[in-house]
Amino acid sequence: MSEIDLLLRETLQDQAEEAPGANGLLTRVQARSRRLRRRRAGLAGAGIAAAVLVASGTPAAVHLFAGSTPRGADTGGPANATASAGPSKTFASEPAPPEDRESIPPDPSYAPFPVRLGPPSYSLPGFPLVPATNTVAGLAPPVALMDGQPRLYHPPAGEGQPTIEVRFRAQKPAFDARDVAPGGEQVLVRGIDATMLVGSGGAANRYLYWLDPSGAWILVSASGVDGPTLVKYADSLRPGNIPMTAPFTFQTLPRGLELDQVGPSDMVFRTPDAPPGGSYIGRFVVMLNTDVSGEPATWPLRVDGRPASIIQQDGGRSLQVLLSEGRHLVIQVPANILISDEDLKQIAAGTTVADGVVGARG
Amino acid sequence: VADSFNDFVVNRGQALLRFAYLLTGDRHLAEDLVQEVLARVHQRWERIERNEGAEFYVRTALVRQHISWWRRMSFRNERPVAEVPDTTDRRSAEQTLAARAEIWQLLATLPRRQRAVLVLRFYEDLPDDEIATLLGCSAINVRVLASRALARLRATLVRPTVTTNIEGTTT
Repeated sequence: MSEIDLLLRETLQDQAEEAPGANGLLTRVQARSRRLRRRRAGLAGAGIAAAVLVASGTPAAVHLFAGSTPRGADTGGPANATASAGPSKTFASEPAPPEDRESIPPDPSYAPFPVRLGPPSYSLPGFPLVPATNTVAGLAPPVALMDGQPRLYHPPAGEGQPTIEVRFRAQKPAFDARDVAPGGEQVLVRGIDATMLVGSGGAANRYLYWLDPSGAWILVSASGVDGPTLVKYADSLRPGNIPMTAPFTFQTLPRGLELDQVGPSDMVFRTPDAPPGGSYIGRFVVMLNTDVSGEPATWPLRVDGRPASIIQQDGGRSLQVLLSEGRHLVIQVPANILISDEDLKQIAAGTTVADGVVGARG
Repeated sequence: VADSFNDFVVNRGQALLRFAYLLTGDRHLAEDLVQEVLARVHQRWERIERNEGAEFYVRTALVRQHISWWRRMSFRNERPVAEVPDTTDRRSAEQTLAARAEIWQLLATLPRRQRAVLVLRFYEDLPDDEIATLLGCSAINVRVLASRALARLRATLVRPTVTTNIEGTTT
């Protein structure tokens, strides 16, 4: 065993002791299992899925500050700090007993959506608030992204650098009690009472939210930013427009899909029966990855002369195309979106990665 | 069914959380991962139990879920590919701790499949063929993934630090 092997083994053994405790695990698993059972029952039909959308509380229009209007409205996607309590992620890669694998349905299921290709028809909304510059040391410039609706995001300028995200919510933000420290600090933002919460367990996360006179809740989530500085940042937000820059452009896409999410390295499109935001479940996903499944040298397909492969998975399939070393275009298609391999390859061939886009790890 | 599932969670929950934490490097994600997998396992516990090896099944589910095809970037884990942390030529008495902290940081920069292979090989002590079964790939692929991951760690770690850690000598 080499030195690095030994060091790695010791490190893993040490770190394993830092794992969270199992107290209460059974209770939480049982509760989650019950929620899962109810959700499966509840999503049995598309009509019921539509009801979920209505029940999430979507205001017809939300005016921010003086007269600006965001496009769309929050439909209650998972809050950033509520991963443990939010909607369950899909379990596409869950192993099944051999005789059972084929019987596992995609979860959740949406109505079949036959694909016809056409030119892209989406538009990129901007973000209607602009922060002042230089309120937070080391903060990178903001970019407008989208998760069901526009959001503002300052990516980390480097390892350990601060990040901030601003988003609108139709309802008062709710946090998992295990994610935030008890209590909360009351502060003023633009003369409005606001609440600041601090991440639990020494986490450097802070969450600041207030009810804007327009009726929308504004949630500012930050990492690596102290409380007073975060308030200063929130105070500096003014009506304006930060245009959204997408990581990809397309020559062709499935007709009828709606743009749902735009990230630094991914774009997500949903079928009309899928609720907006918060998930990759049942979505048509295009992303730039740095890691890959399999060995590109052995990939049997070619897309625009580049090695490619299609992977069949529970719940759908994905096309991955090697663009250059460490950069792979990946298109995920759930089983309910009915598209041929040739159409999938055609979409990939017509996809251009914008300059400066950095791939993410899957 | 309920009793045997409950016993499994009570008896093996902590070990699963440790494993998930090493896979994710994040306590909250580890908890979320374990709860999600166990909740889904609960739905068909009878069939899984009949097939024996429930723990292997659950660990496989944890790994596959973590490196899932369905990527979901959240605020908490949304970050560009991290730069490899700077390394310096440390020659202090705390080199062991520093080197382990550095290794832990470097693990966070690895692709999930590579990290999973290292955890399975060096924490779980699984042979490559079992890792391959668990990941759903070939043993050759496992060795390639491990080789790449270790090469990255070797290329980044400062050799005197490693030497001191392992052999207890001062360079």
